[in-house]
Amino acid sequence: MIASTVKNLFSSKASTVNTVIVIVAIVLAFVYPLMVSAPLISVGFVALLYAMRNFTWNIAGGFAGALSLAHVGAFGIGAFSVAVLTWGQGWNIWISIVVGIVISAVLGAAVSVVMSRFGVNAFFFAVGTLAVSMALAGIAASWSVTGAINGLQNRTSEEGLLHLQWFTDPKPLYYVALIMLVLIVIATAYMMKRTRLGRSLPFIREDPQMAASMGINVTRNLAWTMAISMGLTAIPGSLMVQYTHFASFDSVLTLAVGISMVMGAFIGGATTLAGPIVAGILIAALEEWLRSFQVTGSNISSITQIVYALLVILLIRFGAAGLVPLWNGLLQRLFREGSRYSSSTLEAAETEPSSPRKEDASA
Amino acid sequence: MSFLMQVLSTGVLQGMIYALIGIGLYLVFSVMRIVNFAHGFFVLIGMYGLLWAAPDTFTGFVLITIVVALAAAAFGWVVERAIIEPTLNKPGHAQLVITIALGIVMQYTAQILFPEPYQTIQNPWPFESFNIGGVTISSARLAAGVISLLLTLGVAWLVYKTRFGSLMRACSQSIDGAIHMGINYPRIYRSTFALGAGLAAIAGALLIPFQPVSPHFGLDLTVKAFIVVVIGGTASIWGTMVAGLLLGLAEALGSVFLSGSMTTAVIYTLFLLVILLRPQGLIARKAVKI
Repeated sequence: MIASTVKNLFSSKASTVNTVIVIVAIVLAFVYPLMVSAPLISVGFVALLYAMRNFTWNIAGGFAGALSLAHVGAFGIGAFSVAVLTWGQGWNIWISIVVGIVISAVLGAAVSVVMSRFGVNAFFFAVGTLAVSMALAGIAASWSVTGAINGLQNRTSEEGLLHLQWFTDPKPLYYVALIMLVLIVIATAYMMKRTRLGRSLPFIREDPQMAASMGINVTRNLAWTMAISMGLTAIPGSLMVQYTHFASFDSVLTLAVGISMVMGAFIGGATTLAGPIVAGILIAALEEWLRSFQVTGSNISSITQIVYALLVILLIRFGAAGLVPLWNGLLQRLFREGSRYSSSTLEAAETEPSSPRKEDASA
Repeated sequence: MSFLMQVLSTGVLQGMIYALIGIGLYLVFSVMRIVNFAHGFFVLIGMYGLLWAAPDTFTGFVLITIVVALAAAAFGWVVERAIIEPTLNKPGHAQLVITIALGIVMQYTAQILFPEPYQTIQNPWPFESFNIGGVTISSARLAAGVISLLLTLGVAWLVYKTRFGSLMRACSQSIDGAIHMGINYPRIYRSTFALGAGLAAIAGALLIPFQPVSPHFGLDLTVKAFIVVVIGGTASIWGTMVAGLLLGLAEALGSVFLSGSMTTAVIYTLFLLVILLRPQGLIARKAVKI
């Protein structure tokens, strides 16, 4: 099985190029902290977190087509489980992270089962999951355990891997995030290629009714996917507050987090494995680049959000599925390969059939 | 007793504004089958337009409101033509994501242009407040509620009694049928979207005298408009009106017993419960597809 997978990676010129890019990127990601200064390592860490949360959102949002905003809740649960249990109660942080994952996963499955009563309608799914996150934010903002409106501060002083905290050196936290991201990506790629659950997801995304009539249990598979996706989204939440040492309802439970996950996945290419990661890293780089101009801090995030959103509008308006699908199309054009469906390392599922764009007759 | 009356009247007046905002979303949703996530941000156009112009006379207020509403409608028309129309035939949630992105662009543009949060304008109405049987209502609230009600009734008249309204309803009932009858549906779509945007901007202009504005307010209003439309059901405009009043009342009553953020949490939870317990009221129209 491994041999055939490796052979697949080099089956065509396009996939060879992509495989080489992926290998170079992974190597670069591992040596990056050794080459740059400490502030830039922190930028790299934030980029990894963006990539991770885009990616985990994309498991449900891109592969299964469940446009969920409940992931904001998952991100916040991950953040607050560390803040409440570790900072407040003195639990070990790894236990807190696992608690966050479990709570988020259960919430994800519950939300999905509940929302399936709408017959998996994207509009109501988005609105209902939005309500879940807003309700959670309202609770966090008024509950004393979660710090109400003031938020919670990290006052612990232990250092080391066991406590996931290093005060002077940003490298270890970077590597923790990188290794987690790699593990999540490998596990997801395996799920999408080799398991019945993973292989049913593009089918569910394209046509839930057809999928159901082919014997796929759409409700159950979506619930599992939402559980996996939201459970994993708790991890970047935990890491984020462990990095900022601060958690409050308006720093981790805002819709801006959810929207950046959605936008990131769409910019990169929501049907691909690599897309959300590429977009996350690009956005972090864009933020850092803007910082080099003479603009105030709040305007930086405003401008990045606007650029983000304009990119999405342009991509959707001109019928592109994202940066990574565009890149793959470019490679295929370069090497003149006939089929868009030749196995590529980066594509987890088939991209959408490239139907000719239907323009309105009267336009 | 008069305290309760005070709360109820505030709630009803606020609810009428929610109904007006919800009507715009409802029209776009039912005619074009598009959930416009940017709808609340069209309200922001009205609020920031008035804030920027800062009228000091009543006539100025009325004139600027009209100008801002027309500008918002024109903007809505352009948006529909430029980015929504080409995505109408796209599968999946293309329109959903594109309107979210549009909302983000509008929110952060407002953030950059008006960095000072929570501003408001002085009361433009020629009278201060009314006191009827121990109930005090500020003139801005009263005027906003009454004008919202009149506008909502005007929209209902437009939809149910005019030729344009019948064209809208035709597109809503069956877009294929409308095309076969020779209805120029892109024009109806653009007009509907522009109408929704204009109504939202008027609601914003009515809100700004007593509601301090900040950029994230647009998203709140979008969500509230969603709540109104979903609870009201897609069958008729009247459901949307009643749902608007309910939301206003629930908010006013909630603010008496709970803290502000808890009220929000309770309202969202109630909203979820309504979705769960009455799903048939929500998807009465099967044609609403993904």
